[in-house]
Amino acid sequence: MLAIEGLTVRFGGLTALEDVSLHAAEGEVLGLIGPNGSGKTTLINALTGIYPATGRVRFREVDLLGLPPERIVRLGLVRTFQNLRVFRRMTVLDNVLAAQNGMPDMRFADLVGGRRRDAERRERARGLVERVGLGGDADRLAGELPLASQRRLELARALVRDPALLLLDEPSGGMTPAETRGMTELIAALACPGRTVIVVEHKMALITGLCTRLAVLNFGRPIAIGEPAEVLRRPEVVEAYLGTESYR
Amino acid sequence: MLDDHLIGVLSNMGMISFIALSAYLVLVVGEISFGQQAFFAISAYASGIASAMWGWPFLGAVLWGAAIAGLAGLLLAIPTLRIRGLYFAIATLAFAEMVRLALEIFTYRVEVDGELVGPDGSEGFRDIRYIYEADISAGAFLLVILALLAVTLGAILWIERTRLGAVMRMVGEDPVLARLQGVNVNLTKIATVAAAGLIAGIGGALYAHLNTYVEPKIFNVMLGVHGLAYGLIGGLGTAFGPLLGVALDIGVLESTRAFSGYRMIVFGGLVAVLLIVRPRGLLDEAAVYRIRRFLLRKDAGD
Repeated sequence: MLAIEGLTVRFGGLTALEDVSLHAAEGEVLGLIGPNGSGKTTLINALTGIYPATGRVRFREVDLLGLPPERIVRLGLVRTFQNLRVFRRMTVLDNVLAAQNGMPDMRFADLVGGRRRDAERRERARGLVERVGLGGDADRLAGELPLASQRRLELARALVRDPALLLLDEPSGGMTPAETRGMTELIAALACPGRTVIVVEHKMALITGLCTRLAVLNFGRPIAIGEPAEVLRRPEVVEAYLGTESYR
Repeated sequence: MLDDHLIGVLSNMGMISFIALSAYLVLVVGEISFGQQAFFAISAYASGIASAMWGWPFLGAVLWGAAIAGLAGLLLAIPTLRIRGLYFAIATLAFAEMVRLALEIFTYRVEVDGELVGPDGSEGFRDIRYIYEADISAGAFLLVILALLAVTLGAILWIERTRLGAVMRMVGEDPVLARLQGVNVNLTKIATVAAAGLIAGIGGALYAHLNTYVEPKIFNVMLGVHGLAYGLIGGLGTAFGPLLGVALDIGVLESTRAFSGYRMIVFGGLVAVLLIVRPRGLLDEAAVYRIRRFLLRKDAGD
C-alpha cells in the first residue's frame, strides 16, 4: 500500500536521505530504527509533504511527492511528532475534534454550522480521548498535560481521522518504562486490521513487542530490512549502533 | 439623555472598535498587521463617494465601502501569502502608506447641486453631508454605529464557536501542524485578511459620514498601531478582548481628565508591560478558558 522508490532529500549540500526504497504492506507494523541523525524523521517529513524530496512515493495508487501536506493527510496518511506538537491553547477534546478537517464527508456548512453539525464528530473525538486514557482530562488545556499524556493525545488526534497509514515518530520518547509499556499496549490495541503502522523508535522493547518487520537506516540509507530479531543480530546493524572495535 | 461629550466618546469608541476587531482577526491567524488603517481609509473614501457624489443611500454606501475594503484585503492577502512574521508586518505597513500617499494625489470631483464635491488630493474630501441632509442627530448616529458593531461582533463570536474559528486558531498557533490536520492554511489566511479588510471598512464608512470630512493624514500609521494594540492589551482569546482594549484606551485614558497629557505615556507603558507579563493580552486563551469553565460550573450547579 506504500511503495517508496529512490527517495532522496537534500538540504543544500547535505544529503539527509539517499536513494531510500521501502515497502509497507497493508496491515503490517513496520519498525524504523537507526542512530541519531540517520534520517528517520526526515523520511516521515518527506512522506507527509513537509520537506521537498525526489524519487517516487506511491500510496494506494497516488503519487505523494509534490502534494501539499493537507492533501496528503486527506488521503489517509497521518503522523505524530517526535517533538510533541499539540495546540497548547486548545482543550484536549478540541484538539481531537479540530483534527477532523477536510474529511471526505465534510461540506462548507460543517465549517460554519456550529456545534450541532459537529455533534457526531465530537462524540467520536470523545470516544478516542477515552480510549487513549485521557477521559478525565478531556476539558483541560492541552498545554497543561504531562508529556506522556500529550503523546497519548497525539495518538488520539491521529486516529480520529481513521488513517490507512499511521506514522508514529518515537511514540514513547521521554517516557518512563511503565509509561512505555502502556503506550506499547495502546498501539497494539489500536493497530487494527487494514491499518498500516510505521513506527520510529529507539526502545527495543516497543519495537520487538509490536513490529512484524524492521528497517534500519544509517547515514540516510537503509542498511537492513527483515524480521526484527534477525535484523538486530546482523553485524552491520550492531556496528551502526555501537561502532566498530577500532572506534571504541 | 447622554451629553454631547459622552455621545462623541462612545461614537469614537464604536468606530475604532472596527479597526481593533479587524487587527484582532489577523492576529488570531498568527500575523501582525500595521496596515488596517488602509482599509478604514479606502472605505471612508469609497462610501463617501457613493453617498455624496453618486447619491446612494447611506446603508448602501457603507456596504459598498466595506466591500471595496474587503476586496482590497483580498488583493493584499494574495501577494503577501508567502511572507510571514516581521516581513508580513512590514508589507502591511508599506501597503497602508502606499494607500495614504495615493489618497494624497487622488482627485475626483463632480458637480452636485452647483458645487464641486469629491476627494481633492491632500485637501481631503469635504461635504459628505448625509447626516445633515437626512437630519440625523449624533445620538441616532451612535445607535447606528452600535447596531453595526453588535452585528459584526455577533458574527465574529459565532464564527469563533464553529469549526472555522478552531481552524483560524490552529493556523495562528502552528500553521504546519494545522496543515497536517487537513487545514488549507493559505485559504484560511486569505479569507481572514479579506474579512478583516471588510470589518475595518465598516468603521471607515461610519467615520466619514459622522465627521462629514476626511483627509489622508488621518489614516496614518498611528491609527493602525492603536488598532493593533487594542487586541494585544485586551486579549486575543475572544473578540471581547479588542473591545476591552478600546474601552481602556479611549474610554479611560483619553476621555477622563485624570490622564490628560500623559495618555500616550500610560498607553505605551501598558502595552510594554502587558507584552512582557501577558503576551496575548488580558483576556488571553487561558483566561477565556477559565471564565468559560467557571460559567459552565455555575450553570451545572444551578
